[in-house]
Amino acid sequence: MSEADQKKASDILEMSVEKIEGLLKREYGISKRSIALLLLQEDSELTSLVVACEPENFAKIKEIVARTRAYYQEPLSYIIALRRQEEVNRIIRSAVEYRERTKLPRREQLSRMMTNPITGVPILFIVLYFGLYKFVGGFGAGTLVDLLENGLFQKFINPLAEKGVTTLVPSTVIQALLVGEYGIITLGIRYAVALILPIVATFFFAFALIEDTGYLSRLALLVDRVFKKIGLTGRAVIPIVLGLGCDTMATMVTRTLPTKRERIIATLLLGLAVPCSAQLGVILSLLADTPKGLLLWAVVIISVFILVGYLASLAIPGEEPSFYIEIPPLRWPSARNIITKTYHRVKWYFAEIFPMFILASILIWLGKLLGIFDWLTKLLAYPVRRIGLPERTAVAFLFGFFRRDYGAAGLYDLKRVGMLSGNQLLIACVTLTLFLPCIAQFLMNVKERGWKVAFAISLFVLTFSFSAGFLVNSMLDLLRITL
Amino acid sequence: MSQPADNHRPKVVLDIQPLTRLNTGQIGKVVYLYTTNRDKLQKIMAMGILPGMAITLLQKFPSFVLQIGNSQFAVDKELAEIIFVETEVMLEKGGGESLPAGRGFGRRWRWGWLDMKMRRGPHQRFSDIKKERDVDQKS
Repeated sequence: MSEADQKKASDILEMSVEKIEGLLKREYGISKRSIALLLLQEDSELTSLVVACEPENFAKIKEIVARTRAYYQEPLSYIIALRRQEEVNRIIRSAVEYRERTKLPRREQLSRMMTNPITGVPILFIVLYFGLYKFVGGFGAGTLVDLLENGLFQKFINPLAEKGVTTLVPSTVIQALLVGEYGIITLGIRYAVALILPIVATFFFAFALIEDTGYLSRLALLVDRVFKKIGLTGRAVIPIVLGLGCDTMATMVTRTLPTKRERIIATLLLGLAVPCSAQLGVILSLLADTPKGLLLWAVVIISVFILVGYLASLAIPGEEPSFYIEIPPLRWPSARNIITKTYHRVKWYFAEIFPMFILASILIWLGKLLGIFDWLTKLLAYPVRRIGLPERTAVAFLFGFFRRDYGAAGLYDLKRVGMLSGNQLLIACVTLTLFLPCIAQFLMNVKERGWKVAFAISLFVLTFSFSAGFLVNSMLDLLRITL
Repeated sequence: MSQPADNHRPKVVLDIQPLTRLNTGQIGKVVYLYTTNRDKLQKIMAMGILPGMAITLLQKFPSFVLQIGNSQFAVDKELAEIIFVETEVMLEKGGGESLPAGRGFGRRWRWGWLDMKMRRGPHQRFSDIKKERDVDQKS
């Protein structure tokens, strides 16, 4: 193509824009030129708007678009982007001057260290250790929970509520609903406010801090290759890491993933192999005395995450996703942003999750009243026995469905009375981590993925968790390992 | 140190290759995007990667990190290999006409996106394909 031809070709775009501008009769709130350009790029939203507003002119416009499109080899959106870039370059050339840099700025050096696997993986561990283990696990789940649980609830609110309810409400059945062992106030509200709130709030705080420095996109590029193997891309680190805080919120965040396939795989993995902060806290304390058990637990859970992801990527049809992400410059996070984000997330969490706690309390109360619970416990007792655990753990598993950490807390009581050996503790922790997500997450799965997918995932998770427990039990027996 | 005489200067030639073949730290100028996948093209365009732009490859593993203008992006191999860049290759010093560094970037190739039907291989110029198509249509 000669220079002259090129010029003419570019004029055709310009001419088409002018013609369309002339044809447009209505006002759309933005310039006619923008409308014309969007029409040429076949923007679906705007095209339907113009069809609705002035159908009489649209036939002509459509013809112009088709003719222009036929003229160019490349899609019109590409041609327009190219022209826009030329204009941008022209403006920048005349307005911006760059100074030669001899050395990389320090923040750029740090950024390169974060994205280089050799230095980046140790940095990831440092972030996880201080951000998750020390701050969320130590400060949130330790210090703050102690303060609220033992200080506020056990000393003041629970005794006060018990006294108030027993004097005001005559019926013992209703009393049990409000202040019983699983009562709305004594268990539901206490659990939400004293246990979950501090853990989740510290997690969201740490998450917002990490998010605002720009670290997450660097982490995304670091893990992209591994995540590709499980049918996801590096972008999925955001919901997965968030899942370590709250799987329910993370399931909602899977909306940001571009394809349905990725959303299903991420939902499945969040339901199966990503323990939430509340659960992590209890499991860490359960296995604290047996470091070998903790290590084995981590190995099993990570292997399950990768194996199931890999199998899911083979089983679920769809195109291989492609990965791209902007790497923003590293920044000092602003305190106001972090506080606002943390506040809104915690608020969301409360609005969304709090009713679930109440509901869980009511369901447990109803279940106890009608004897459904005893029946379900008996039903679960068989698989529990098969994986080498005492029958009483069945109760922990059943409560685990309402909150996975309820279940873990139940195990904690069993451990305290010495009913579980080291091996049994490991099996129980593995099974309970993989076991059905809490009821809030199940409802979120239904909301985001629909009934069919949500049920399929739950059924899979249920069978898989017990099979994994069974396998771990057999392996420990076979290798004669006692923890 | 004085400048070496012209015929002792290394010979500079231009090479067109996918971004994936660049060394880290190397700069290339985008000459075309080669794909039949519209979604992928759209993603690359969204990053402002268009013919004429200079790209620096910052990292190759585990993902490709590139700098374009003042922005940095990470892309996977499948996206990176769509981007074809022009680089200067220094050959052993020798005869022939040498180009002052940077001159070669003046040339502007507009190949762009190739339609599946029109696909002939990355080294055929777009304008040639267009001519062929016009001939096809006439006959």
